[in-house]
Parts: sequence; structure tokens; C-alpha cells
Amino acid sequence: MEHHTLFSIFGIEVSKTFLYWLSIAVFVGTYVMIILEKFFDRVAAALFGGALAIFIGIESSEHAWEAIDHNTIFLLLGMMIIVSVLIESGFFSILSIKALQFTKGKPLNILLTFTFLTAFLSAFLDNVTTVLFMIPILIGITRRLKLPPVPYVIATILASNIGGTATLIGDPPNIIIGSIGKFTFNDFIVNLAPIVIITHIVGTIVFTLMMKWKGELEPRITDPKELEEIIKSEKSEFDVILMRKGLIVFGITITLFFLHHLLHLEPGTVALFMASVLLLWSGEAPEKIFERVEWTTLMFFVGLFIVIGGMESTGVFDTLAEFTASLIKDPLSGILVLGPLSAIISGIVDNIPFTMAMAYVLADFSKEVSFNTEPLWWALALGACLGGNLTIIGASANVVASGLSAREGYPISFVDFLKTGTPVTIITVVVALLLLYIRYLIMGV
Amino acid sequence: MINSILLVFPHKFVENTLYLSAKFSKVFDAKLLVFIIQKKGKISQENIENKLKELNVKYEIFVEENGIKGKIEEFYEKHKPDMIIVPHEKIDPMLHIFKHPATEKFAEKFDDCHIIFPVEEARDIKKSLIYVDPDDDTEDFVKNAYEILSRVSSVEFIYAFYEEYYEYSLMKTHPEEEARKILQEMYEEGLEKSRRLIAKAIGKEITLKVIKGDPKKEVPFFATEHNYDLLGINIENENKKSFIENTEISIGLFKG
Repeated sequence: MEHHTLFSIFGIEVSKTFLYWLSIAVFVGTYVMIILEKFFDRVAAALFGGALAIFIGIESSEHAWEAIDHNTIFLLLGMMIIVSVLIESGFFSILSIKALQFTKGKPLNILLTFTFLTAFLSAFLDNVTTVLFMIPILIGITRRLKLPPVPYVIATILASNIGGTATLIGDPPNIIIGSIGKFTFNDFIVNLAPIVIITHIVGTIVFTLMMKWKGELEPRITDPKELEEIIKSEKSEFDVILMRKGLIVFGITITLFFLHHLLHLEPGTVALFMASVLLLWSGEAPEKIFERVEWTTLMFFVGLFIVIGGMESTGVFDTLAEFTASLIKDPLSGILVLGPLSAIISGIVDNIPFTMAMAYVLADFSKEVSFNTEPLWWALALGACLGGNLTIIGASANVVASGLSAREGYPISFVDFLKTGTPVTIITVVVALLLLYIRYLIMGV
Repeated sequence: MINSILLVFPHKFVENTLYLSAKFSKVFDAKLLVFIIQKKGKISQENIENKLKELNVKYEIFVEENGIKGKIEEFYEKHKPDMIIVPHEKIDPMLHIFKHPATEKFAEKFDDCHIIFPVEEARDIKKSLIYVDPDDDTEDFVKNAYEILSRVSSVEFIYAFYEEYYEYSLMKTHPEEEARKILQEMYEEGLEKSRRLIAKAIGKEITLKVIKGDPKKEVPFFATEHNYDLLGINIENENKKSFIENTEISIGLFKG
């Protein structure tokens, strides 16, 4: 059956140039709708943009289907299922209780332990998931210890975005970069993890000093007996058998991620396969596990991939790649252009559509130039992920965490976040990009 | 009702468990068959014997030095005890992920006698909680668990309504309001069934605690949170392994 589009129904012939500009208009329109979160739901906006691209004939439905990056979707879905089982088992609750016992209720210890734990977990789990279980526990603990929760919550959000930068699976922009740029899990570990570890230490020093200066690290409960009672009273429900199964599968999944380039398996394939194994093995009702899967995020990705696929099919990225090639003459200067630019844009608007568009531009750009473009991909990853800390709307984790905090009675204002987020972001982005720059300067591109 | 109790010390002597077992032995006037699995002479038989004499209970001590495999089953078949008591090592939930407690094997092997797994810290049982599943549990189970536990401690019953389990399917086929109404009816029906089952089994009305959620997770948590000393479940419960692993207090498995 021949597929009709809006224009063909009315017998209107459209030129390729018209479709070219139309695809840009749809992308810009979708982007504007995503930015105007107060008026439009971002998921609905992305899906509308994608469906519109097909409806008006920018791309065929077959091309739209192919434009959806299955590796990204499978990876997100698979990891969300595995994490959902681990949450159900009570693993994260136990982990946070252990962290509290370890801190002995001391504010500085709480800050350092929770930010480290958040950063570490964010490297292997989605940031939103990490803050979803860390924030309520942290608020509960700070409340009981009579500490102001907001600064601790902000520090945890910042740590989640920094930690998520370290691996392929840590943050959605990295998943996109890994998939479109064809980078392995190990590539991320080798190229980004060392930089992120140093950046996290620097970031921690900055927000610790800021909190110390504001007197937010002063203990409010000084009686050791009262402190001990509070720590002892923390209990959690758990299911050991489910936890064991979840952790075994999670461990195998991470191992396979390290080996996926040797096995010639895409990370998405590994994640989805292991998630299905866990579902079968655990015997848990899929409905219960699927309830925690962020279907809206997955649909957001689907919509955006179609919108961006439209621009790809009309040749917009070829033009953008040529333009980028005229701006970036060598990889080192490219780090200094692309990194800060990505950080600023990601801090102001959602970093997912930006990374997605930029990744396609870089993919085409790599074909245009003769030098190695790998440093530019890492600059994009560092900028897009770390830039999310700039404002409260810079990353999904920030929005989710501030929502949770408000629900518990501790709203975080835009300005409050900015006061901590901006200095930390500026310092961490500068440090991370400088480290990347120095590395390529010394070791060569 | 209980004529002999098999008390097993696998590789380690736990004084608290000996005291607790002696209490059961005295209450039921049952003979205590103390089975020691000796490893490099770690357990002092003389010490146990002295303590048992002190406690003034009927006892007999058996020592096995050549490993545990098959020996307990053999002993069990020969003596047919009515109850088995094995000290339960309290393992941190995090370590539990990597370690299976020895008690689990006992629960798997024996299902035609009552089994008590007291945590090593437990010297006495003062407050017990019995989990009742109105769909699977029998009157005999409720009766046995109550008759045994009520002679050594105060007893309460608990019923858990796994709302989520039904909610998903109901929400698919009914409008929310209607689904909530059906859920409420199911909850009340389950509660009433539990009450009837308990009343029929023990011949009187008794306090019934009610919680919502996955029983194998929520009931052990409730028991720990509310400072019960022992949680009693049906030995035929299909999730008994999970109950054992998720319970941080002593646990008793009672036959129906």
C-alpha cells in the first residue's frame, strides 16, 4: 500500500529544500515546547514532534522506525528493569542504612558518604533512579538529626550528575554518545572515569567548603546516646532471595558490559537480555517491576529520535557538520569550544535532545574531517553531563530530586540551587575539560 | 503433644539455645535429644552435660564426629522427634546475600515435624507472632502453632493482604473506583476468613494484626519492627525459604 502524507493527500508537490527547512522547523518547535515545560509536557511534545515529522512527510514511518536508536532504548529499558528488581528487594534501603551506620551521624561524614555513594551508584545506574531512593532516605536522616536537608539534597544531586558522567550507562547523554559514536563501555571507563573521579573530588571539596562556610555542617544533636538511638532505629524491609538474584544478574550485566566489544554484543542487547533473565528467574510479577520503569522517559527518547531522524534524512546534519568543520580546525581547540558550549546549553535546557542532535552532527563531522574526533565526543559527554548541574532544570535528576524534597516539606528554590550549582558546575566543567585537554596535549590525539 | 525435642548444634555450641530448648522441654515434659556435630573437639560435651543437669531436664547426648552429611536424617528417622531446634546465626542482611544459613537446609529436609530456629541471642521467647494465610493454611497448623507457642509466650496473629498483587489485574479490567471497591471487599473477605480460621482452630477470638503488602517481606519486617521474639509460619508455606532469610528474629515452622 502506498503511504500518503499530509501534502500528498492534497496533491501538493514539495521540494527537498522545503522538507529540509520543515525538518528544522519541527525540531526547533519541539525543542521550544520542551523548554516551555510550564505549558507543555515534554514527553507529549517529543511524541507530537516525532509523529508530526511522519505525518507531514519529512520521513516515512519505516525511516522513523529505523531512526529510533534501539540500542539506547534497550539499554535504558533493561537497566530500569534490573534496578526495579533491586529496589523491590530492599537492597538500596539496606545500603543507605549501612551508610548511616558508617557515618555515626556526623554531618560531614553524612555529606561525604552519601555524595560518594550517590556518585558511585550513579555511574552504574540511571541518575533519576539513584536520587529516587537516596533523597527520601537522606531527608529522613537529616530531619532526625535536626540538620537542614536542602544543602545535603543539593550536594547529592550534584554528585549524581558528576558520577553519572563516568560510564556509558551512567547518564542518558552518555548512552546516546556511546550508541551513535560507537564507543564501548570500556572506552568510557578509560577516557572519562579517571577525569570524573578527580572532578568529583574537586566538586566535593567545593560544596563541602561552601556548606562549612554557611555553618550547615554543624551537628545539631551532640548527645552521643541520642545519636546512637537514631542510628539504631533505622530498619528496612528486604527480600534476601530476590536481592541475591538481582545482584547476581546485575554483576553479570556489568561484567558483560566490560566484555561487550569482545563478544560483539551491543550494551542494549546485553541489558535487555539480562533483564529478561532476571524477570524469569525472580518470579516477580512483571506488572510490579514494570511499574518502576520510566516509560515516559523511553517515549521521550522515541519521539526525539524520530524528530532528529527527520533532520538526518533531509540532510540537515550534513550541513551542520560542514559548518562545525569550518569552526573546529583541530581536536584540541574543539574541546575548548564544544565542552563549555555543551555545558551551558545543557544547564539551561534538557541535555538529552541537545546531545542527540550534537551526536548526529559529530557523527557526520567525523566523516568530513581528517583528524581524530574522539576528544570532541568526550568533551560533549563531559559538558552535557556536568552542565546538568548548572540549574535546577538542567537534568532530569535535578527536577525529580527537587520534587521529592518539596513533597517532604523542603522546597528547593531556583536561586538556592543556583547558588551552589553554578560555582560547582563552573569549577567541575573547567577542571574536567582541562584534564581532557592536558591528557590529549601530553599523550597526543 | 511434644514428647521429644531434637536440639542440634552444628559445629558450635550456643548456650542461649540450650536454655531456650530446656524451657520447651520442661513445659512439654519432653526429652531433649542433644545432637552435637563435633569439629576438632570445639564443643565441650562435658560443659553441655553439666548445664543440662543444672537445668534439670530429661536428656540424652549424641555426638557425631565424622561430618554431618546424612547423619541427621539417619538420627531423625531413628528417633522421630516431634520438634527440632537449631540455633540460627543472625546474619547481617548484606552478608546474607552471599551466605546461606545452615538452618535453611534443615527447613528443606524436614517437613513433618515442628522446627524452631532461635537466633543465637535469644534466651527466651516472650512474645510470638503467627502468620496466617487464610487461603493456604489449615486449622491444624493454626492450632499446633498456637498450642505450642502459647505455652511459652504471649501469642498474636497476623494477616497480610497482598493488595498490589490483585491491584494490577483489577485496574486493567475495572475503572479505578470500582477496582478499589473490589479490593476493599477482597481485603475484608480475607480478614474475615482469617478470623474464622483462627477462632475455629483455637476456639476463641484473639488479636489479629493486619498489614498490607507482600507477606514474605512485610511480615518479617513487622515482626522485627514491633519487637516480637519469634515469628511462626506454616512449614508448608511455599515461601518458607524467603521467610527464613528475611526474618531477623527467631522463626518457627509448624506443621499442619
